[in-house]
Amino acid sequence: MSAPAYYELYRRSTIGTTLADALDTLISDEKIQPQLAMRILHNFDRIVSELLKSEAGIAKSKLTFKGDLHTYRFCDDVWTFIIKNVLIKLTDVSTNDSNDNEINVDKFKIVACNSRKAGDL
Amino acid sequence: MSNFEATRLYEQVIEEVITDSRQDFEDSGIDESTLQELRKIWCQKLSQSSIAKFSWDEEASREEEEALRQQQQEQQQEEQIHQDELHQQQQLHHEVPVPAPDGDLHSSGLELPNSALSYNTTTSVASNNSGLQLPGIKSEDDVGDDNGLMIPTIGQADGTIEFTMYSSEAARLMEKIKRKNQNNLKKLAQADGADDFDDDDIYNDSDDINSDLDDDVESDKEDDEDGQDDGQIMLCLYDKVQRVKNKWKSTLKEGVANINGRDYVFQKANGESEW
Repeated sequence: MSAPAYYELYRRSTIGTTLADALDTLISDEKIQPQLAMRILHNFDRIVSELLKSEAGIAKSKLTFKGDLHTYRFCDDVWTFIIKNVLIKLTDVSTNDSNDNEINVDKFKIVACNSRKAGDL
Repeated sequence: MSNFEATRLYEQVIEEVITDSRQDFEDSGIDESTLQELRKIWCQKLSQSSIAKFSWDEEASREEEEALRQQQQEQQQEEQIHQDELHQQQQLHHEVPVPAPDGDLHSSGLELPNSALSYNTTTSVASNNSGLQLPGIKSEDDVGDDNGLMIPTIGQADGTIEFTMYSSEAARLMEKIKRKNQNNLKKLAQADGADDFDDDDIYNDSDDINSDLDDDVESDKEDDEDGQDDGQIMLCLYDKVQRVKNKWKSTLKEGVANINGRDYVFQKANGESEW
């Protein structure tokens, strides 16, 4: 394939799973073919990846987290962490909200792909 | 914690995916209405997940309100009609010739022509209306069904309602009631998937080789590693992951995170954790 490939990682997010659900509904109603659904999901991969880039100007927030690393795994260039007792801080740059938002979470999972390959896999 | 950015990102993603998929739909010979349906279902499912507030949610809630109001109006009208019917029914009941022992029908509020009863002049008011109206249970919001049986709707939440009826056609009546109840059962409003009443496939849905023991081991493992896969997950890219002894530092970017049922997006993330 000559066009750059994008990670399918974001399909696991809410926006991705709901799209997959919606496509499933249309497939089981026999309104579209599975092949078309695959193409839509590829479109989704590309669009989410592009919109998350800083150039798109939508995602600006900064996030920091601190916790106990329970599991780490590095496989096929993908990092997976399971962190327990995490304190997550999010600074929303877009809404001049001076006080940072903090959330405590018992268990948190991170799946991260290599940023250098994103978009030119 | 605001997740305004997630809302903006998701709305933009939907817009662009729908726009960019138009050509793919055309190439597959699928028409525009299906594409719009995809968008509609997608938006609905996103709203159901309640991970953020969306611009279409407000519209939807306004529409819902409108629909609700309309429904109420219709209901009121229906009730009115129903009451009218009831009224008529009662009148019909009244006209049924009742073998009254002593002609006490007079002055009981019946609208029978006086002349028809004129030979009956005894006016014992004591048994006024007797035998013509069902006792108290018959109220305005009774649910009448077509076999002439009135089953009262009683605002009772704790337990079953018991009442005794006498009828010459008891067997036939019971049959009708049973059928009606069954129909009602079938109309259970279930929104989360198909209703499966099949209870005999619990045991034979897979090969018999898998024993219960295997299942337990499997699920334990899953709990340990992927237990909360649905929530509390962050999907992103990494720039750097460093470790010094048991301290891990990671530099992440361009991520989507689901935390406590809400979605957040971020441009950069830094994390420290001890193993």
